[in-house]
Parts: sequence; C-alpha cells; structure tokens
Amino acid sequence: MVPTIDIRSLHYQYFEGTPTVLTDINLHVLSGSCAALLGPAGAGKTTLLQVLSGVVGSQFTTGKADGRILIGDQEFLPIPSRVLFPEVGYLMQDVSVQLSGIKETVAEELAFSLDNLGITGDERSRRVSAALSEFDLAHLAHRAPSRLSGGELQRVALASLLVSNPSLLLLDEPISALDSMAQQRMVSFIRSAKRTATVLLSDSGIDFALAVADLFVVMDGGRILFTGNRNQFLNSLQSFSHLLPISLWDEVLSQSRRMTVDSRITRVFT
Amino acid sequence: MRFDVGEKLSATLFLILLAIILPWYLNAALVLCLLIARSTVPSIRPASQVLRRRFRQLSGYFTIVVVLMTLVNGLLMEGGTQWEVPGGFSISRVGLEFGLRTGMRLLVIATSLLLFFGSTTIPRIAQFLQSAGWPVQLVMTLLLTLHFVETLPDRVSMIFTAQEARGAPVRANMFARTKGFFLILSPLVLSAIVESIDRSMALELRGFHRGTKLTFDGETAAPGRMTIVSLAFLVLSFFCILWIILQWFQQ
Amino acid sequence: MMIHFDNVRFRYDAGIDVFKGLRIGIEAGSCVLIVGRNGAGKSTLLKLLNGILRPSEGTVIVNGLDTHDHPTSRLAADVSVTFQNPSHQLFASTVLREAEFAPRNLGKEQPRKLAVDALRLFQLDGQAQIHPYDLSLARRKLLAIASASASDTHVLAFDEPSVNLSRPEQRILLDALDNLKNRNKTLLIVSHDLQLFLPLCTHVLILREGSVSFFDSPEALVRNQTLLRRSGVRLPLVHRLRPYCGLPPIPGRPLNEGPSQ
Repeated sequence: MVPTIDIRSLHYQYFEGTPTVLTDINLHVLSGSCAALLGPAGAGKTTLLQVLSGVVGSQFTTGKADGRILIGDQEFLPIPSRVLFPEVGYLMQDVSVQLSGIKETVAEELAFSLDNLGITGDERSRRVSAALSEFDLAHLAHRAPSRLSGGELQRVALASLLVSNPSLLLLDEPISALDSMAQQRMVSFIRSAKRTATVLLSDSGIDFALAVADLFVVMDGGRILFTGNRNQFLNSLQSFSHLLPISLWDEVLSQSRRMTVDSRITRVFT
Repeated sequence: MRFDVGEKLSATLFLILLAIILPWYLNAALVLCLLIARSTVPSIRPASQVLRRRFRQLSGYFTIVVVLMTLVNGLLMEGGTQWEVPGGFSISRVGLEFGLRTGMRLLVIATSLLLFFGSTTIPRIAQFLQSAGWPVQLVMTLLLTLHFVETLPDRVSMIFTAQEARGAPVRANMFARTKGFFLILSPLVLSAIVESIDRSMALELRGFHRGTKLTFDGETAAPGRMTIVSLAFLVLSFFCILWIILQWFQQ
Repeated sequence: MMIHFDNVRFRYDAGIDVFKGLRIGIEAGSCVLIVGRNGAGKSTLLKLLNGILRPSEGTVIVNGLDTHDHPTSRLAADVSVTFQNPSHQLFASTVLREAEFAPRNLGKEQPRKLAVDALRLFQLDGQAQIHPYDLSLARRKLLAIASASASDTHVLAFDEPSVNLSRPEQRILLDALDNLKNRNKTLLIVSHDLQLFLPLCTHVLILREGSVSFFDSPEALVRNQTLLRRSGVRLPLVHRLRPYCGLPPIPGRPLNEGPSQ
C-alpha cells in the first residue's frame, strides 16, 4: 500500500537542553505524490527525512520528541523508534557510504537488503536481475563496488534501495553530485517511482523540484516556512531569495503571468 | 598451495609469536622468506596492483623505521664495544643489538600483517569470523574499522594533494611526508568518525541490525572449519606462548 | 597567453586516455567556466595545471612555466587549485593561520596582510581567531577558497566551489570572484551550477570524451542548443525559460551579441 504521510506538531531535539532541530513541523503528503523539502544547509531537511525513516529514533535514544507521525496506517507517538525497513527506502546524501563495504560484487551488494529480509533462492535472484536490468547494471554485476565510477555508484545505490520494494522513498539531495544528463535520468526515475511509492526528497536548489514535485516545502532553521503546490510556490518565490537560489527568477516571473510560466516549465521538462 | 582465511590467520598469529622468540638475525631471514613466499604463493600474493604498490610502500616505511630505531638505540644506549662516529658520537654494540632485536620483531610482525590483509578481502574476513562464531555486531564493527584503514591511503593522498596545491612540499621527502601526516591527523580522524556514523545509519536503513546474519555468495563451507594446517599453526603458537612465559619466569 | 595546453595527452595508471591531444589557450584575466559530464576530465584538467598530474605527451604552460620542469610547490606560486572537500585541507588552529598557510609556504611578502585581505574579501575577517571546525560547513568551504586567494597567484582554479554553500555564502563567493576578476586574475571554475556562474564568466569550456567540444562566450553557448545536448550539458531551467518571456538567456547580455573570439 502506498502511504500518505501526516506529521502533526513535530518537535525534536537530539539531547535535552540542546537546541531543537525540528520545530512545530506540520506536513501532509498524499499517497503516490512527491514532496520536495527545499532550503539551505542546516535547515533541517536531512533531520526530518531521517526522523521519518526511523533511524534517528533507533540510533539516538537520548532524543526528545513531541508530536505525531502517521505513515500509511502506522501511527507513531511521537516518532518511529525503529527503522521502517523494508517499507522505507532511504538514499543517503553521500552515496559512497550507502554501500555495505563488505560485498565483493555489485550483484551481492544489491542482494544485501534481501539477505537481511531472509529472502533467498529464486525470489532473491529474480529481484536482483530485475534491478540490474532496470538500472542498466547488468554488465557490472560482477564488478567490485569499490571500482565503480560516481555515476555507476549512484545507480547501484538506487537499485539497492528498490530491491526491497519500498512504498516510501526518502531521498537526501539525490542530484547534488550528478551532471545534467544524470539529473535528467533521476527526473525520469522519480516520475516512474511515484506509481508505486510516495516520495520525499530534499534539495538545495529548485530546478529539480520544479520538474518532479507535487508539493513544495520550504524550510529554514528547523521550521517549515511554506507548503504549497507549484503555482503557489512560484507565486511566493521572491520571499525566499535569501534561502533559495532564485536570483534570475524575478525577471521571469514578473514578465509572465504565473500560469504561463507554469505551463512553460512543463513544456521545457517534457 | 592455497590457504584459506583461517589458515592464513593462524599462520599470522604463529609468525607474530615467533618474532618475539627468535633472535634478530633469524627474524631478518624470516622476513626474506616471507617476501619470497609473497611472490611465489598465490594465496598470499597481494590481490591487486594497488595493494602490491601499497605493500611495497609500507614495507619501505617500516624498513626505514627499523634502521632509525637501530641507530637511535645505538647512540643512546651504552655498553659493550663502542664505535666512534663523526660528530663526536659513539654507537654501542648493546644499543645496536637492542635496536635490531626490536626492529626486526617489528618488521616480521608488520610483514605478516601486511601479507594477511593484502591477500584477504574484507568480505572473506567477515565470512570467516561469522562462521567461526563471532557475534555479528562485532564482525561489523571490525569490518567498518578495516574498511576505514583500507581507504586511509587514498584519503591521505587526497589531503596531501590539497596541501601540495597550497605550496606545502608534503611529498618532497620522507621527513616532509611524516610531518605532513601529523598535520592532517585531526581532519582525518574527524572525517572518519562522521563517515562511520553515516555508514552505520546506512546499514541499519538497509535492514542490518542486531541478530541479522551476514550472508555471502561463493564459498560458504570452507571458512570456519578447522583444517589440519590451521590446527598445526595454532599448536605451534601455543608452544610459542609457553616458551615466552618460561623465558619470562627465568629472567 | 596565461595558460596553454599544447596537444596534451594524459592517462591514469589503468591505461585509459583521459585526454587525447588537448589544445586550449586561456588569456590572462579570463573567467572560464568548465563543464561536462562526470568523468569528462574536468578535475584532471585542474590537476594538470599545477603539476599534481603531468601530461604523458604535450605540454602545459602556466604563466610561462612548463609544468614538466617545476615541482608542484613551485607551480603553486603561480596557480592555486582548490578542491571540492574543505575537510581535505583545513587543519590549522585558527581561521587566520589557515589563510596564512599558503602565502607563508610560497614565500610571499607580507603573508599576514595577504591572509587578512583575503578573509575580508570573503567576509571571514570577523572570525579570524576561531577554530575552522567551529565554522559552519558553508563557511569552512568559503575559508578553503579564501585561503587559496590569499596566495595571490595569477591563476585561481576551483573544483565545484558552490557545493555546500548556502545562499548568503554563494553571494559572498560571487562578489569575491568578481573582485578577483577585476584585479585581472585568471579564474577557472569547474561547476555543474551554470545558473550561478554563467553571468560571471567570460568563457565556457565544455569537455567531452577527452577533448574540447566548445570554448567560447556564454552567449555563443546558449545559441548552440544542439552542442549543449550532445555534450550532456543542460542550461538551468531559468535560463531556458527566459527566452519564452522575451528576455536574453543570460541577464545583461543581449541575445544578438556576437562571440567574443
């Protein structure tokens, strides 16, 4: 089941007495949609994604949290205290730490999550083969993960997430290290992923979000400053000039009606 | 001649203990034997060109350390025959022998460890330890440490490159390299700690947690089973330990 | 010509040619944005400038010095290269000492003054006495770049300088680079962030499969969409939208402006 995500009045601090890293977060993400968390470094985007994945609740037992999180029909008061695997697939910002470091081949690396799930035999082979072909990795199946190029590493990291068929994808700055063509491939990937998963991603720019997101969430200092759809986001863009790289958009937006710009964006990306 | 992980590990343990027992000249001969074995025995040959180069570099560093250690002990310690050297210093026989004894031990231990880790991949070590009954969390901690050590030369190289580009002659000579290494120690350790935290998060996010057993393709039967060779080396190691204890009591 | 790559061939140990006869001439005072797909050789190009890597064939001449004939520590007096990860570089106990490191190593006159001026340019002078690791990640990145500019070299090269910078730091970076450009420094910037750097640069260099597929002004680039597509480079969305709104793709530069060379 592809989940909705509902976050109510979420507060989080890693240790009592330290600054709150997430303050009064309220967010609703529809099933099968893509929400983009936008904002500068330190805004709380990664923290929010990691809280949702359950890894923060699992690893940081001293953390203090308030609020409520609903993922599909699972309710957490206040936050998940265990990693929500395999429902959640999480892509780390630095993909080089994503891989286990203990597998000798790409095929074995892809199977790591399946091994942890106890999936063996034909089902294991089938899922690994499907992932290898979907991400154009078949020719690299026997390559050592330490000998992959940056682009190949990204594809292996993504493929290794998807073998476990997650219904919620959390992607932390998925395009930061990618060149233009690889970014286009990521756009295509997210558009097709939305058919079987809800997607939350973070980015420090806005181009990628404009191509794939249904919901735009601007964050700063651990708070959400704005949520809205693409039109609403473009209408409010100028108020985020100190947070987002939008310097050339002023002229574009003032020269066109909002709807015209929106349809141009769709044309430019398809 | 093929050795599995268990056999190599028990052989390494034996060599380390042997190094403590043998006099310096026999340790020197042992190092030569190990270097010959490295070129002739497939299972202890470094697994790749990169590892061969690293083996050569690290062997070189350790050799220099041994030479320096011998000379410094010769200069600082007194006793036995004294040889005058330019500069008004004298080198003592006792000091030289002490330096050689300690240095050769270090060289045997370093060479044995380099041969083991250079010819055994991290996944193979993981497979062996798990099938030998080690707790999985401990295996994983060891693996993360080994992974960091494996990537250490590349990290150091990147940092040295960045410093060289700022005019620091960190690769000019051995002294510059050593000085440079101390300068970068704190950023190196900090980045390692941060990466370890991220790596452990990533593992957990992919379903690895308490109680999960790691699985491996390929060989699963051989590692973990005690072979005759492993047993022989372990028995020899046991006798070495006995000998060391006896010698210690006799002093 | 400040920088001259003359028929440069380069391969790593693995035996694959990264460059197969690279020819580039860069005039003093240029600001060149270097783009291309990952693996096209952009970072390798920067390392060939200061002798970290040396060509297997051909020559690289920087400010009259052949990189074959001089060690990196000498070439660093004429060209500073800043790599992507600041934590590969910062080790001093204060921001000021970090900025002084390069000018001292290079035997520059008045290294402290050079360091202070560089910190001022990057708005770090107020934090001169704090430990670099007490700065935010974005400020540490700025410090790494400021430390490079303190060496007062003729050529400054940066590998992805805007990564990890937040909006305010990006503005500081752009102003500082503009200042350096006006002081006739030659700037080379490897970056995927065309939106940030296109208005600043005088030339764009596109590398594709080990050779130069484009080296001309940004205006000439935006007129050549086919080349862009073939090189695997896309203009940022806002630059692509601007013509639909009757605006030149690059602000301040009309579309019908001819190529600069």
